[in-house]
Amino acid sequence: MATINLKAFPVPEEVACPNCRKITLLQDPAGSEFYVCNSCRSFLRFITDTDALVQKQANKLKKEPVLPVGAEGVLKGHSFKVIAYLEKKEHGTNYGWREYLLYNYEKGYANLAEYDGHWNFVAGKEFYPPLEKLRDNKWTFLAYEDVEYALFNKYTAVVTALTGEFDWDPIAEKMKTSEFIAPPFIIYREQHSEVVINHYLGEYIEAAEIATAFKVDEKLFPAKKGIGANQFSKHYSRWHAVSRLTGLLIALALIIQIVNLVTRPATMVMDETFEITRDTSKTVDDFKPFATPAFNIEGRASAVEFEVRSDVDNNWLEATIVLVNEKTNETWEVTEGIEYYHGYEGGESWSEGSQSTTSLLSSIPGGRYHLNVYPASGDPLRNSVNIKVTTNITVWMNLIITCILLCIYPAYCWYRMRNFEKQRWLNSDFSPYEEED
Amino acid sequence: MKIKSIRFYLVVALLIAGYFAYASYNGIVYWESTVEKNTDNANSHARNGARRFYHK
Repeated sequence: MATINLKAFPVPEEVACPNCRKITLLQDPAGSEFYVCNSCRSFLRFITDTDALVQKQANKLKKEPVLPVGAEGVLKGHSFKVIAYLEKKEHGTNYGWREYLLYNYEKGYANLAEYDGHWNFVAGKEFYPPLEKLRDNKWTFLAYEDVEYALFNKYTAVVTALTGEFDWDPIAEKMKTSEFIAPPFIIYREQHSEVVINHYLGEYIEAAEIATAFKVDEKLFPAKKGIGANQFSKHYSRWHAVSRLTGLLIALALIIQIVNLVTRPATMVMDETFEITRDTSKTVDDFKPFATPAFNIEGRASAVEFEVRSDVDNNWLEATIVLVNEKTNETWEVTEGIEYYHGYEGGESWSEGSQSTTSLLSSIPGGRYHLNVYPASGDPLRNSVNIKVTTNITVWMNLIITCILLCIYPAYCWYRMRNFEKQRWLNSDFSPYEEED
Repeated sequence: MKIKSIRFYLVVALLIAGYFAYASYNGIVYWESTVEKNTDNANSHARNGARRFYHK
């Protein structure tokens, strides 16, 4: 077992390979039971404190490690020394990745795992004690520290090549592994046997941070390909922040609307039916214009609604209404038409149009007003029109437009976030997006 | 909440919400009916058909 609870790294010791007699430097001589000879690549096991026997021949490394064995650095607040490098793959596939075994003199082993240029700092319960409480529920998710981790991958990991020293036999083990992700974190569940299950927590880490920690040129690190299983998503982060802010602002807008509705309720200042008569001196559709009695719009400026109603039947009526401020002579003119037609055709009743219409005017200042009305109708016998004027209208369309405007950018962020997540889950057999597509 | 990454949206969103509050207070309608303010009504004009009308 790796030597732990020390104040500093142990003094490295040279050991001679019993096969080729070449020297290999061990970083944790007391804690390492297995090592690989740098020269002949024999995989050796110590049978006594000083004597080692060749177990098998280790395969040649496919890739040169970017962190040399023996490199020291401080990562996540802990001092580490790289003591081994392993090349692994999923059993039965060509998916391969690389692991750098890190040794800390206080807590033991952690590792840096690299796949397609994406790096994870991975450690067990020695570094993350709550992992001890994780239980295998065989579900498709894990709950750790109040965060839900979704099942991303399942495989059996096998070692294809290695170098360095170990306190266990990594070649012999064929670990059934399940990966659960909650970016930027990942939990590895490794099943050693039916009863022995270990959990490890991984955190996505940028190559630049590793390069700085171990004083290695970042250019030597492999380039990123695709999206890492637990790669941090800036799109998710942005969506998360934007959606919460938007929710707050929409709630605020709703409160403003309700306060406005309660403190300035809609007030009807006119609801009268006026007699109208044809103007025989003009064209056949023209009626005589008229002015309504005056009315007051109290207080500050408000939205004003006109409703024009007439019982037109298979006919139309149109009215130009001019709102006149009696003090300033400012005017606001709107023209609204009413059409209502109905009938019975082909065995079915039909109707179209309406016998009323409304107009909404913006920010009409308080004051005394009257209306000048200029009616016209296709019905020469039409003799009345009803006009309602309501002030302090609560404009729900304003709220809807505001909400739409507030949601445009969050919708874009959601779209980007979802695309990123879909790309991430392309590498998984357990994608939640598969059924949608 | 990471405000820094969304500071531009924050400014725009506050402007939108602020104008909504201002519009609510002053009775401003974003989508008002077609209205002509201070129209000179001296001249009559008319359209044909169902939309026909006149001014005094």
